[in-house]
Amino acid sequence: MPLHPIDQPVIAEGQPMRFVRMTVSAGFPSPAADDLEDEIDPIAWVVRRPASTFWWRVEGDCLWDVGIRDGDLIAVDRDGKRRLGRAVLAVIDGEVTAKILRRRNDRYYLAPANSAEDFPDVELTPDSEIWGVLAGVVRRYELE
Amino acid sequence: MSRRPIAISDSKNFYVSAERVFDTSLKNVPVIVLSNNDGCAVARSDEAKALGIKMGDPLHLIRDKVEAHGIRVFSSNYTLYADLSRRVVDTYADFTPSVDIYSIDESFLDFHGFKNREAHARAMRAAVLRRVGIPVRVGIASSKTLAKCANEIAKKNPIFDGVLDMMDEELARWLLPKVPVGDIWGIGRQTERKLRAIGIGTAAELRDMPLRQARKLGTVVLERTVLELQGEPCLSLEEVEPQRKGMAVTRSASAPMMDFDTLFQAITAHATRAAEKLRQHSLVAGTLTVIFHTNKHRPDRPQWSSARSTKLTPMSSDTFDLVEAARRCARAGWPKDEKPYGFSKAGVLLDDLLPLEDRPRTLFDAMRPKSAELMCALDMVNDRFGKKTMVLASEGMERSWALRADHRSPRYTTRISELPVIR
Repeated sequence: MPLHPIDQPVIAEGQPMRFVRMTVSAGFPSPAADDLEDEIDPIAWVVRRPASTFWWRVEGDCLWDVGIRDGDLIAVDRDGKRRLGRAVLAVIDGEVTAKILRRRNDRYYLAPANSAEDFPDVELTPDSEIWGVLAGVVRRYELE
Repeated sequence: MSRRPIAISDSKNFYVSAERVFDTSLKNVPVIVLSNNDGCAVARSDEAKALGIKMGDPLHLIRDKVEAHGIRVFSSNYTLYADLSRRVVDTYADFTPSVDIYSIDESFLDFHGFKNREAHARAMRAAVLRRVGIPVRVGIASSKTLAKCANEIAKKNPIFDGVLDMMDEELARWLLPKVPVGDIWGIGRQTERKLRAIGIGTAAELRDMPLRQARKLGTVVLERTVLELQGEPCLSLEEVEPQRKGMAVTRSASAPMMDFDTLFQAITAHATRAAEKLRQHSLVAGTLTVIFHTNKHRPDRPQWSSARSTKLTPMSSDTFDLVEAARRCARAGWPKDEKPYGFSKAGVLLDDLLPLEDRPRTLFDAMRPKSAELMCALDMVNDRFGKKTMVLASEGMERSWALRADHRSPRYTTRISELPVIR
């Protein structure tokens, strides 16, 4: 069916009327209308606690062992539970580094998150500062 | 009398604490944050305070100290501070049914109904530190002024470890004689002098001042402060945002603006920002004023100051309408002689604000049915791709008038290109 644009403002009861520009099919109402849902939002799925989650950019292979690659964006939850085996950002000598929480002989350690690198484990003390816990990763690939 | 507990939570050296969240090398070292245009110190870490840096010290007067002690200097990064502030407030919302944001780093919280208020405040404090990385302090009392007092006491005495519940009248009786009257919320230097002249030097003495005398000495405001100190709330927790009556966007320029084009670039930027703010609050404005003036501290240079207003008909929040009105005002206020004026500050003020749905309709409303859609698109583009992605050409590209911010840290939380990096 041809559509004709309206050039003049339409006045109804002294008020100009606004028209929403969309095509409407004049047949049966869509049977899917009752089943409309919001589009999925994977970022919201990763970021479970917006107030405490911050994004970081990864450079190099510091998180290789947990499958994170150079250029990935990682979500870090400052309020995530510190559990064994989890990847964390730890503050060591004033610098933020990626580590894995480990336990050996009843002692807790911050181990490198890339076993190819020759960094020693750092013992976890009450003064050790954990910046946050890895909450998720976002990666994208070239399209052009 | 039933007394309802009000808490005030404020962030310690907020701007410095915010810088420290991402730059962990700043821990335990002296740090200062500078005002707009890198003028003076507006936030100091405890270490910087210990070195004698005062609030408002101009950077050029403390350069020696900065170099001698390796003080780390930052321009204000309001984008970062606002984002962290929002996260702090989000965390408060988990601990109270009502948050009244007083400033970027202070909020009043309804603490009614919690059995152990101190434990509750400590849990909230720990949560804010853990989640956002910002240390806060909490004062609790039955009025805002008393809560501020409690907060101030907690700030100055480490024994309270950041939380003081002054609902206990016994405790208040013991503490208030130790609070200098000048430290009380709302007592300015002039009022302090007047009070001291009649022998009132502490919060306790002010609390016991006869109301009639207080009103005579410092109007109804001082009377209210006295009542508040007695524990009677006069400044209620504002649960409804008061309607804005006016709005202003004014900025100092980094270098004197010598020609009309440069000045108008700044004014375009300010009008654009003002229009954005209007749309955020779903308001329209009826009057627009443009002000600009030369540097008053340079009496050796030619001086000019101008303020011109115009009506916005129809009332509007459209960037094009506001910039066009601002252009008329700026033209009208521009000096007619040829002296080399250097304008140091420009601003756009909006008045007669009304909610969009209450605005009077005019005959010309229908002329531009696309205005709302266009503004909506403009806001969405700038929201998604960053501020100033799409601007009016009259704002210019160089932004030579824009503020100096030579030491600004990255906008870690709001720009994908400025995310913190883990190596």
